[in-house]
Amino acid sequence: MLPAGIFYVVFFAIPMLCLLVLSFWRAKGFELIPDFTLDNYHKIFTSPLYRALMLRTIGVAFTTALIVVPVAFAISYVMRFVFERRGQLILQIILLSLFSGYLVRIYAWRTILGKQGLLNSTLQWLGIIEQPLEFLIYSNIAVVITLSGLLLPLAVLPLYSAMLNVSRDYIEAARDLGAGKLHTLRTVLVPMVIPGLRTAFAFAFLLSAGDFVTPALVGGSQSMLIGNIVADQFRGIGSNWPLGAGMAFVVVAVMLLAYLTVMRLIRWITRW
Amino acid sequence: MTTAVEIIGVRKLFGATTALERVDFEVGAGEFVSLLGASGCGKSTLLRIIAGFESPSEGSVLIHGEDVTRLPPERRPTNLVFQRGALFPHMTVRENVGYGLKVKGWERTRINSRVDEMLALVRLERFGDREPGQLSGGQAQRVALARALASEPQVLLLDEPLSALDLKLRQQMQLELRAIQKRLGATFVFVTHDQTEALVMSDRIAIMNNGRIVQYGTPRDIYRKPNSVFVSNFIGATNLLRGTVTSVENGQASLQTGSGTYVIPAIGSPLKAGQRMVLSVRPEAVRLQGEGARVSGLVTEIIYQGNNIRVGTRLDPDTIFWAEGRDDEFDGIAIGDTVALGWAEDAATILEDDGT
Repeated sequence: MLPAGIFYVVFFAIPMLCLLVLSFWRAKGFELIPDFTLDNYHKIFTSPLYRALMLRTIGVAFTTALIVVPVAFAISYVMRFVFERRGQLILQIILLSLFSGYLVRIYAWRTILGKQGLLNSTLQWLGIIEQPLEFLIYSNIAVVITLSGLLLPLAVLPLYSAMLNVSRDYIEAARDLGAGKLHTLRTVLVPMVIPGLRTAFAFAFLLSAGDFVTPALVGGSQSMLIGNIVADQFRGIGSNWPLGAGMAFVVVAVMLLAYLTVMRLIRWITRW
Repeated sequence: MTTAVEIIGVRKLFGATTALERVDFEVGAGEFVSLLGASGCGKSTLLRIIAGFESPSEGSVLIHGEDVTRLPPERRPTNLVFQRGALFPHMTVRENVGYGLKVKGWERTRINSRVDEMLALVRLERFGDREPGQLSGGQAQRVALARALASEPQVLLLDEPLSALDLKLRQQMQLELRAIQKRLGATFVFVTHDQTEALVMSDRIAIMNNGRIVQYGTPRDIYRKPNSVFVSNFIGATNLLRGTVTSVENGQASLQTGSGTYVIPAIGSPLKAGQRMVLSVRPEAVRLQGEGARVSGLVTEIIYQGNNIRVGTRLDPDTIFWAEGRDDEFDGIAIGDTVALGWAEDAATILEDDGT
C-alpha cells in the first residue's frame, strides 16, 4: 500500500494541489502573479460560452458512455459466457488494437466516417443512400462515434475481468429459482459486476469528457468541448494558466458530480 | 406411488462424446433417489437435464406426467442445490432464501413468513441478516437448501451439495437432509460419488457408469445382489474370484480359479461350462472356519480399525482375500499364520465377468 500511496501523492495529489493554488493566481501576459482571487471562477461561472461547452461536454460524454458501456457489457458477456476459455483470445485481440495508438485510431475513424469514407461509399454502393450522409463527419455525432470506438476496448477490460469472477452457477441458480434471462441479468449479473461497470463507465465518461483531440479532428465548428478551451488556456497566444487551472477544477467537480449521480442510478436500477 | 420424474430414452452427446446413452429412469413421488457414480459417468449431466440446464439430444423428461423437455429451467417445477451453494453474494441470507418467491411475485409478508419457516427448517433462524460470506460451509449449504425448497419444488435436485464439507459435518448433514426430506415428503434426486453417502440417505440408488444406469434398486438390494462385477466392486469392498465354469450338474456348478475350484449354486441360472464367471464374496461374510472351509492361505495383512479388523489372506500370488469382522473374532491371528476361511453359501454372488 505504501508505494501506491507515494505514487498517488507524487503524481496526483501534488500536481493537483499546484493546479488548485494556481487557479487563485492571476496572469498578466505570460507572467503568473501569485494572488488569492476568485476572478477566474467568477469568469467561468458567468460566461455563457463555458456553460454551453460544459453542457455539451456532459451530453457528449454521457451519450458516449451510454453507447460504450452496454456494448462493452454485451461483448464481455459473450466472451465470458459464450466463448468461455476462448474469450481470453478475444481479449488479446482487443489489447492488440490498443497498440495502434490513439491518434492513428482517430484518423482511422475519419477515413471511415468521411464524406467519401468507407461507411458512406459502402452505403452508396449498396444503394441504401443516394447522397453521402454529411452528418457522419465534422459533427457531434462523429465525435460520439469516434470516442465510442476509441473507448470501447478500455471499457471491455474491467467488465470482462469482473465477469470472470462470476461463476456460471450464480446465473444458473437465478434461472433455476424462476428468473428469466433479463431478470437474471438485472438482479444477479449486473449487481455482481458493479465494480467493473463503474470502472467501465468512468473510462467512457471521464475520458471522453476530458478529450480535446477527437473534437478537433472529427468534430465540426459546433463540436468543441470544454477540453478544447481548457487546453487553449495552457498553450500558445492568449493562454491563461490560472484561468485554465480554474476551469480544470470546475470540470473535475462537474464530472465527479455527474459520475456519482449515474452510480446512484445504477444502484437504484439493480435493486431487486 | 405416483411418478415424480420420468426419463424416457434420454441420450446426450457433447460433440462426438456420448455423455448419456439412452437412459430410462424414474423417481417416485416422495422418494429419495441417489445417482451414484465416478466422475464422468453422466450423473451430473442427467441431473442438469432434469433441471433444464442441458437439453437431451434424444428422449424426453416428464415431471408429474408433464413433458418439460423443452421448458427452460425457470419454468420447471424443479430446484437445484449447487455443489458450492451458489448463494448470491450481494444479498443477505433472507434475500437469498426469498429470491425465488420474489421472482414469482409473492407479496412481502407472505415471503417473510415463508423465509422464516425455511430458516427454521434448516435451523438458521438467527442468521437471516448475515451475508453469505459470513457463513461456514455447512451453514451456506443449509441456506442453499432452504432457498431451493422455499418455493416448494415438485422435485428437489442436489448436485453433490455435501462434497466440500469435512467428514463429521458431512455425516451430520446427511442425516439432516434425510430427515428434512422425510418431514416434507418431498422428492429428492441426489447426485454423489460417495457410496456411503448414497447408502445412508437413499430409498433407491441408481448406479451409473459410462453414461448408463447399470443398476437401480434399494441400497440393500444393490449391496446384497449386485448385478455386475462393476457394481459389486463400486459399492462396498468385495473379494472377486475370477474363473471358468468347468461343470454344471445337479444344480451346482464348479468354478475353476487360480486359487482353487469353488462349488457354486446354479439353480435357475443359465450357467454353462466354459463360461468366464466371477464369484463375489463380501469380506464381512467371511469367517474363520475349521469345518467346511472354502479357502485357505497365509495371513499377510492385519488392519486394525478399532471397531473392526480386516485380515488379508494370500490365496495365490495374485489374490489377497479379505475378511472383516469384530476385532475379537480374529483374536490370536498373526501375520504368517495359515488360516482356513469360509462363508455362507447365500453370501456369495456369481457374476458374469465383464472385464471390470
